[in-house]
Amino acid sequence: MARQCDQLITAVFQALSLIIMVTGCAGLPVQATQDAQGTTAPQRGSADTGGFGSSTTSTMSAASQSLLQQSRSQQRAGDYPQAAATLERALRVDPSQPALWLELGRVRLNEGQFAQAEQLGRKVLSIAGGNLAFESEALDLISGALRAQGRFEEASQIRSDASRP
Amino acid sequence: MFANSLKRSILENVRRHPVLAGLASIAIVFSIYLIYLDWHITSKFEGRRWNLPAQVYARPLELFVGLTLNRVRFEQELSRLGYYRAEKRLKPGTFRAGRDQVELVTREFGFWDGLQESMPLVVEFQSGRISRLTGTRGAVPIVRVDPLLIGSIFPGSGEDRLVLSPDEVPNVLTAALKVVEDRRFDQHHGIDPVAIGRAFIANLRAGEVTQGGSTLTQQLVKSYFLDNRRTLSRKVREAIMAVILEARFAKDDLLNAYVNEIYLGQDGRRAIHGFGLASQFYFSQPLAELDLHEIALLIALARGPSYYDPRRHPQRARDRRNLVLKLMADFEIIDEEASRRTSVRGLDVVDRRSERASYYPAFMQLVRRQLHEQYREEDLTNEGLTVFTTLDPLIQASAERKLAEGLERLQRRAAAAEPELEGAVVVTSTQNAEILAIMGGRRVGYDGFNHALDGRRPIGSLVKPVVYLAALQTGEYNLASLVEDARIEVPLENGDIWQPKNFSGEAHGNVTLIRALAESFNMATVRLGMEVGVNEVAELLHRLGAPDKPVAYPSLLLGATEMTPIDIAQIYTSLANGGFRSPLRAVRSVVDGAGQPLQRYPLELQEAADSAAVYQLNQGLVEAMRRGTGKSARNYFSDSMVIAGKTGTSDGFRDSWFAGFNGDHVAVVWVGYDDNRPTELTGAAGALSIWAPMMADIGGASYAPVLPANLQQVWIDYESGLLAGPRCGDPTLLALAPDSQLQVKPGCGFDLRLMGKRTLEWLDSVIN
Repeated sequence: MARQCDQLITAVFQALSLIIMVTGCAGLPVQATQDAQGTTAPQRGSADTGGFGSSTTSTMSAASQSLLQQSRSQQRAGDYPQAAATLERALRVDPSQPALWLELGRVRLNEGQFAQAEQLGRKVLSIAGGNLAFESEALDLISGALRAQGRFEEASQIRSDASRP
Repeated sequence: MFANSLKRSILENVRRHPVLAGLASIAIVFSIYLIYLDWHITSKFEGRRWNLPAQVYARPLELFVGLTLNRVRFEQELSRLGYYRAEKRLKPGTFRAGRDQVELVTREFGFWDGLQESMPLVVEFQSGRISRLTGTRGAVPIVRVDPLLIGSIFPGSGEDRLVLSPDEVPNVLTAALKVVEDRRFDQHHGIDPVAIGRAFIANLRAGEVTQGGSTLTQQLVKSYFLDNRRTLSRKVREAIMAVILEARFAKDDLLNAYVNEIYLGQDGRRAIHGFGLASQFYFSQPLAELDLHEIALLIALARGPSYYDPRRHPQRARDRRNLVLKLMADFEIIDEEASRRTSVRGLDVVDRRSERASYYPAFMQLVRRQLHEQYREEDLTNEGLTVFTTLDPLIQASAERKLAEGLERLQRRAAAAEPELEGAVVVTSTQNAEILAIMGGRRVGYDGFNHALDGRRPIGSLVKPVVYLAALQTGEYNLASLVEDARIEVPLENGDIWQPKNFSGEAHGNVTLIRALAESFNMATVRLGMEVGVNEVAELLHRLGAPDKPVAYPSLLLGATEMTPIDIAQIYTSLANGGFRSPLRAVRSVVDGAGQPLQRYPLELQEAADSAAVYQLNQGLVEAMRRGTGKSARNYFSDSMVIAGKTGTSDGFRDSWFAGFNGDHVAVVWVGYDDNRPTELTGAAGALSIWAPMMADIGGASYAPVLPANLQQVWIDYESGLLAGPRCGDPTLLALAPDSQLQVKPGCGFDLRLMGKRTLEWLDSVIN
């Protein structure tokens, strides 16, 4: 009887600490990151990744920034193969940068390589680590690539799958 | 009617003037011969002046702030590229090193995306990284150093060359060539009677042939037909052809042809033609950067590259070089003072060992195979293509060194009677799927059986991660799940019963998946694999990169299937890459003779496994390095360095494998004997003892994948799989799906202050 009582007290204490923690967290400013497009996106909390996991690197090095710019001007000139080659150069510098993979996916979409565009979108999803902006843009890319292949059902499916909590 | 009368009239004339008729026939035959020779030499000269073997380059070193590189390594790279230390004013291809910085002027280079101009740079280093990169106009975000020429794809005849346009040839070289080889080049019409007479007298005096009277044009003709017989008829034919060439083409064209055609050295099967390639072959530098004494040596070699070989006969080469310098001064190409000063300099030829080591035959073999999928042999040997590859010479050098050291160490432990232990290495980049280094065997530069590409061997426990991944993908298991490590009997199709045993011979009872993987328990793995299905495992192996789907026998679960090191590299690169398979590439791009891109080999992805399941699996491979079969590697890395990997040992210790990765590189090492005798080495004792120092030497970031949004990290007790705390039980941090059912380890009450918000939310959902 006494033990059960103890457990109850412990549970109540834990619940209280939980509330304190959660409200404490709510008082902190929302983590914000800038993606390549310059839009600001809220990030899901992922503070406790421990020693193994890491959160998304949202700052891009000057090197890959400049290569991204170079790739954009190659895209504007319609030279998609070179634009992709430049992005691959940037990916050798910053292989974990979702913005670069996303951009490569868009180049593939524009040059009609829909299967690759879809795969690159999936890659972005797998490394977005809760960055909502990247996730949403990756989903746009994937559903765009699916629609371009006439896979309309899958395209709307992936959207509704993602909107589920 | 008419023909008959013509015939009669000719016969009549022949009878009346027999001598004249004879002469006329000779003239006709000779004219036909001349026309033939003219066609022969002109088509040779005009049609395709040279075979242009594809030139193959390593990856260019990209300099940018944050790159892991120290001053010493950078200097190594620069001297491999033939950059010279200069004290005073820097010119392209030279550098100056301070304590923590290097100043250099890069060379101009035509990349696949255009020309990169030569530019002065200051590179500063701090704690093993580039901390600042400045050009003349401030900070430079990123810049490429010109890449290392690692070989060429020359035709069966062995002819290799790097063609130079006239403006790439220094004036002093052409001037000196004329003085030494053909003083009246600008006046004569292909043959030089004065020179022939002079040579004749000199030879008479000497009583043997010491001097040739051939003009540059004659030498050019001779070189075209690669005929070394010294017959009179051949001499006459050469002379006629030389005259024809002179009549048809400008002197400048002929001189440029000579510069690119002349034979200047031999390198095994490869014949070094032209001054462009000779400059690389002897000095590892472009011709434009050579100093006077080096140019003089190349000119000296034109007379007899094997007789004056500076590597085998340095004194002979030096004497002849100094004769060239003296002639240059006599004919006022340089002044007396320069000639004297230059004559005392050494030969400065790059030493044969370092130069041989830069041949990369195993890597070149792979490049050739990848190119042959798109190109015909003639295109590769003739069209002057430029091939940009993925080889990283710094990493290749590490692999060469560490494999050699490791095999030597292992060999010492073996009995004296044992043959040479063989080994192979493949290193790739984790996310870009590029092949950075390959060792095809023990001997550096050995162009024989390529174990990395062709050595198919049983893979042993290297297969296990795929068994666990198949289990994780079903959603019915996580790494905290339990599996029984106990005697198991598997009935086979042929009626036999298979009874796999653990390496230690012991059974461990109920164990967590993470422990069974990290410590490589055979019985637990087979039980798990039989539950998931051998066919599932075989299919997953194929999806991840095995060239074929292996036959789904139960013994596959312990790696009774043969693969090559590069196959393993493909599979483990897919694992390191979060389950995305990208075909490994050795070639990035091919550019044609005019600098136009022909073909790109783009990075392509295919999702081969669920990325959240791969994330979990890789936690197991990290655990294997922390406390499992790979823990002996820990001594080589700092505590904060996260690495993942798996040992493999085939039946009877015939093959010792290790495959693993950090954040930047995947490396596979195989060790074994060619005749398949037992090595008596486990994967850990053999391959890992090479892998670990090699990976430490190569460097790279920690393995730090992004936590998938649908997983939560929790502390799990390693032995029991129960929920634990960071300081309770034998904890290991695992990422699990939110719907995983877990029980709390007795005595491990939660300490909520140690947990983050995300875990708390998740616990909330699990407990309720």
